[in-house]
Amino acid sequence: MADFKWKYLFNVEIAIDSLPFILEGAWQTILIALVSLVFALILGLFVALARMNRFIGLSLPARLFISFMRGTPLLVMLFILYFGFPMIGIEMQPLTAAIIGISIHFSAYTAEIIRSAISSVSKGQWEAAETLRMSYWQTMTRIILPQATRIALPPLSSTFMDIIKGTSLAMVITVSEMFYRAKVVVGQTYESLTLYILVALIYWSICILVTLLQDYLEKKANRYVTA
Amino acid sequence: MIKVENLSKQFKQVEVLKSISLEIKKGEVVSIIGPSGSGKTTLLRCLNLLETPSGGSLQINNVHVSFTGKTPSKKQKVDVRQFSGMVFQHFHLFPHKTVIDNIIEAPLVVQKRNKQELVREAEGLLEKVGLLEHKNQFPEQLSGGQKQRAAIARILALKPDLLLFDEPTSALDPELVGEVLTVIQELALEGQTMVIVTHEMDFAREVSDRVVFIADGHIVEQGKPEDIFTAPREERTKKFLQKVLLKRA
Repeated sequence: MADFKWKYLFNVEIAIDSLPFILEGAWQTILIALVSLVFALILGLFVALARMNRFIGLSLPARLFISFMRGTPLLVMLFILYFGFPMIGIEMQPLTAAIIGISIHFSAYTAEIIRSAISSVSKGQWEAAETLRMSYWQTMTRIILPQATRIALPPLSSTFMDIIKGTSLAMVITVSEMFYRAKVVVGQTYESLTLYILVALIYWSICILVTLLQDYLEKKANRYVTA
Repeated sequence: MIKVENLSKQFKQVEVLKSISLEIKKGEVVSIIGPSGSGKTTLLRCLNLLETPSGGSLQINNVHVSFTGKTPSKKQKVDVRQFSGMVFQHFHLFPHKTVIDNIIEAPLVVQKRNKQELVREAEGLLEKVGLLEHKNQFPEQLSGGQKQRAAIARILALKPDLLLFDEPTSALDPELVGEVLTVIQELALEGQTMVIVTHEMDFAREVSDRVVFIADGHIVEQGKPEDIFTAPREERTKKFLQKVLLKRA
């Protein structure tokens, strides 16, 4: 332990100096994560509905989509979109590729969460709405989804955290999000440990905010449940 | 008002309803009694197409549907249900909506009616079922009897010509049964056409114009409550009544 280099563990000066540059990247990270979450939720809802449809022409493609997306690494998906697609004439900005890749990858997870949440709402709710002459969409949007949301909130928060952490992979396709910027600073200062600990703490902080948001939303969603 | 002819229902290999014919006139209150598993609830659910009959036909007001084993079209379901309403054994109130929001929901989104007007009407209905002071509570905060009364108010908001009750008191604690039956009784006095599947024999006797006894998917016998309960003609009916009335003694 004699040659343990304490001074390289966390260089406060370097950390503070590089903070504005890193935080700008953190903003990018949050933006990519939020946009991807919204797309993943919308796409996930439709995939879930297709997966639950009795018509095999809808449910089978949905099953295949979920299986493929869950069975392939996000990193590979990003490479296909950014480095592979130009081969067939489809070129996109790094940011676009990152958002598309992250959204479709995680939509498979949100689809499964949404599907299980919808199935957990009792069949009686559908029957009651049916006899009250409500249509499928009226029932889905006004009766089923509000109840399913309550059940889906905790697993969706976990997925959101996975999305936030997953954005760090976008650095390999040159998106200047937080982790990419940390690498840049390391290249200039050689303070690798300091910078990586710094971004680790910032990722953690963002996820703590998500937890707080989850607590708030859960309280709101649970207001009609007494037990 | 409603007429079924040769209605049958098969679940996989089991024939639950075997050629049931039944006609109910406007203003009539008909109770369906019978042992569990006899097909009472299935028959009731066939009347508003929550179950699809395997054969026979159904006519309600001017709507006529024949069954050939296929699922009825959306339009047929809508047409049949425009006249009827259902009250369930387990209420099925919308738990995320307050009592009053449960009641105005369907007229608001289905009939697109004016909200203020609906709230006024809903308050009238809640007063009628004795729940006005609970209008802003969520279903979970209510007792079973209150929930069922709220469910009745909810379906009344659509002013159905025909009300179907599927064992409306079977999920209730004994001391809460009375308050629900009172509400149903009031509806009977107002001339509401109703079909009630029930195990409450005293109630069936008191409220009904006609009692239908079903066993093994058949209508074994039907008639005025006095006749069915005091002088049943069929052996099957006698046995059943003996059993349920003995259990109570």
